[in-house]
Amino acid sequence: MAIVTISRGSYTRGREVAEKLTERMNYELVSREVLIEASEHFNVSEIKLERALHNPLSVLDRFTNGKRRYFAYIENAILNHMIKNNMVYHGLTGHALIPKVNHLLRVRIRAEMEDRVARESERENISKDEARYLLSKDDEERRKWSINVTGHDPCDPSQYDIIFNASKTHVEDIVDIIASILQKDYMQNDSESQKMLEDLAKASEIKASLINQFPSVEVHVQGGTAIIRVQGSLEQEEYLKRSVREQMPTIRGIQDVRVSVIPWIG
Amino acid sequence: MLSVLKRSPELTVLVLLAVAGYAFMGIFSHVTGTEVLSATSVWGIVFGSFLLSTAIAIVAVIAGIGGGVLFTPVVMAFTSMDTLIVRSTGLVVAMFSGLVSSGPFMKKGLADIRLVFFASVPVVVGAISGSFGAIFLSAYMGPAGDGIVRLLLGLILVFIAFMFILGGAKTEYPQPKKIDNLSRTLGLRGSYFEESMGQRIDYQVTKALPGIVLFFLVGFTGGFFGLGGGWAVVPVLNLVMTTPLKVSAACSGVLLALGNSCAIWPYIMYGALLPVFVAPWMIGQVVGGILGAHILSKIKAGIVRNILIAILLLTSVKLIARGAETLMGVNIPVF
Repeated sequence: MAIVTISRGSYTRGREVAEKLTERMNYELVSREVLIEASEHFNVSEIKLERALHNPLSVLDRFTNGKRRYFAYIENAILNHMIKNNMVYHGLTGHALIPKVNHLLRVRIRAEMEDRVARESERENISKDEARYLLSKDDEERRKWSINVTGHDPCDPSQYDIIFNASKTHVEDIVDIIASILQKDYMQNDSESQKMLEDLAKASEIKASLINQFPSVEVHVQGGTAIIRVQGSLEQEEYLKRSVREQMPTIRGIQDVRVSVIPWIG
Repeated sequence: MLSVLKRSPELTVLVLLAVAGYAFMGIFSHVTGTEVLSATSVWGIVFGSFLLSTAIAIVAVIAGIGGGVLFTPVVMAFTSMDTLIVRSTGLVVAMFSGLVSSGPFMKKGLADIRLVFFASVPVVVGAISGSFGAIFLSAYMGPAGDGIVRLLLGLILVFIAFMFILGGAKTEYPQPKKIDNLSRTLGLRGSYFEESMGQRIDYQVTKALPGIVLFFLVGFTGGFFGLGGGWAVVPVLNLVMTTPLKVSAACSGVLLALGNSCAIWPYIMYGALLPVFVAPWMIGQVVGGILGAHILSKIKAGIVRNILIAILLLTSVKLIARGAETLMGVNIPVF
C-alpha cells in the first residue's frame, strides 16, 4: 500500500520506469487521466488543463489566475487517486503535493543531456542542435513553471527521496530498486499517513470549488476542521466569511469551517 | 439599509444634513452664474461629482483600495480642475474611507488604540506639513508647481500599482527579532482574538523610531498629494514594526481618518476646499460604500481590483505626460 511519484524531464525514460513499475507492482498508473477527470469534473476543456500543466506562467496569468485555477483542479484529481493508494503517478508536481506522508516515495529520473538529445533527435527526426535547443527550452520552462506554482525547483534534490540517472542505470534495475523499497515495512501505509492524505484531498476539493470566486484561497484541513483563508478587504470580512461558507461544498467529515480574511493592502 | 444607518449614526446625520443643505439651497437660494460657470453647470458639477464619487466608492469597496488613491490621480490626470482643490477634495474622500471603517475596527478590538495614538502623532504632523508644502508650492511656483505635483504623483502611482500587484511582501504574523527600548517603554504590544485559529494572538511591536520617521513621510505624502495612505501605513506597521497584518490594516483605517482630517485644515484656511463641491463627494463615498458592499456578492472582487490596478497604471502614464508637458513646454500625445 504505497504511492510513487515519478518526476522526470523529457526523454529521460521516466515514463518507461513508471510503466514497468506499475506492471511489476500491480499498481495503478496515473498521468494523463487526471486531466480528463478534472476536465469532466470541473467542466473545463482538457486542452486548457494540459496547457496549465506544461506551459510557463505568463504575466497575464498572474492577473487572471487562470492557470492557478486549472492547477487546483488537476491537484484535486491527482489527490483523489492518491487516497486510493497503490499508484504510480508520473508527471509534473506529484512530488510537491504531499509533503510528509510515510507511504509516499518521491522519485526523480534524470538522464545525461547527450542521451536525451540523441533520443529526441532520433524520434522526432530533427538535428541534434535543434533537439538540444528544444530540450533546454523545455527544461527551463518546466523549472520556471514549477517554481511559480509549487514554490520548488524540480532540480532541487531535497524534493525527492531517491534520484536515478537513467543514462547510467538500466530501466529494469531502477524498477528493481524501487520495487524492493516499496516492500519495506516503513513504506507501508499507516492510519496517520492515510488521514493526512485524506485531509489534503478534502482541502483540495474545497480549494477547487472556491478558487473561481476567490482566486487567492488557501485551504487547510485538520481532523474535522477546515481553515479557509481568502484575500480581501478587511472592511468586508463578515460578508466574505458568509460568502465562503455559502459556496463551500458539503464534504463528509468536515464539522467546523473557519474562515480568515487576509487583508489586501489598500 | 436600516442596519447601515444604525451602524453609523454620525455619518447618517452628516449625509442627511448635507442633502438637506442642498435641498435648502435649491429651493430657497437663488443661485446665480458667473463668467465662468452658469447656474445650471454648477448643479451639473454637484450632481456629476456625486455620481462619480459613488462610482469610485463602489469600486474602491469591492477592490479594497482606498478612495483617495483612486480619486486624486484620476481627477488630476483627466480634468483641468485646480490641483489644490483636487487634493483637498481627495483628502475628504480618503478621510471618509477611513471614517467608515474606523468604528467597526475599534468595536472589534482589531485597531490597537495605543498603537494608533503613537503613530497618529507623526502622521498628523507629516500630513499638516505636507498640506502646507502643497499650498506653498502652488502659491510660489504656479503652473510649474502643478507640473511637478503631477509628475511626482505619476511616479508614486507606478510604485503603488506595483505594490498592489506584488502584494507588498506582507507577513501575517511577523515576529520581532529584537525589541527596542522605546517600543518597550511605550508598551507597544497587544492582542486580539483570531476566530479562524480559535485563539488569542499576542504581538509585540518594535522599531518605534524608524516607525516615527516613516509615518511622518507617509503623512507628508498623503497631505501633499491628497492621497490616502493605506498602501503605505500597512507595510510600515506590518513589515517594519512587526504588527500582525489584520491589526495593521485595521489601524491603517483609523490613522487615515485622523491624519487626513488634520491635513484638510491648511487647505480650508487657504480657501482650497470648496464645501459645495466637497459635500457631493462626501455623500457619494457613503452611498457608494453601502452599494459596493451589496454588489460585492455578485462579482469577483479580484478581477475588479486587477482592472483598477491597470487603470492606476494608465493614469500614472497620463499624469507623467501632463507633468512633463507643463515643465518642458512640449506636447506629449497620450490618450
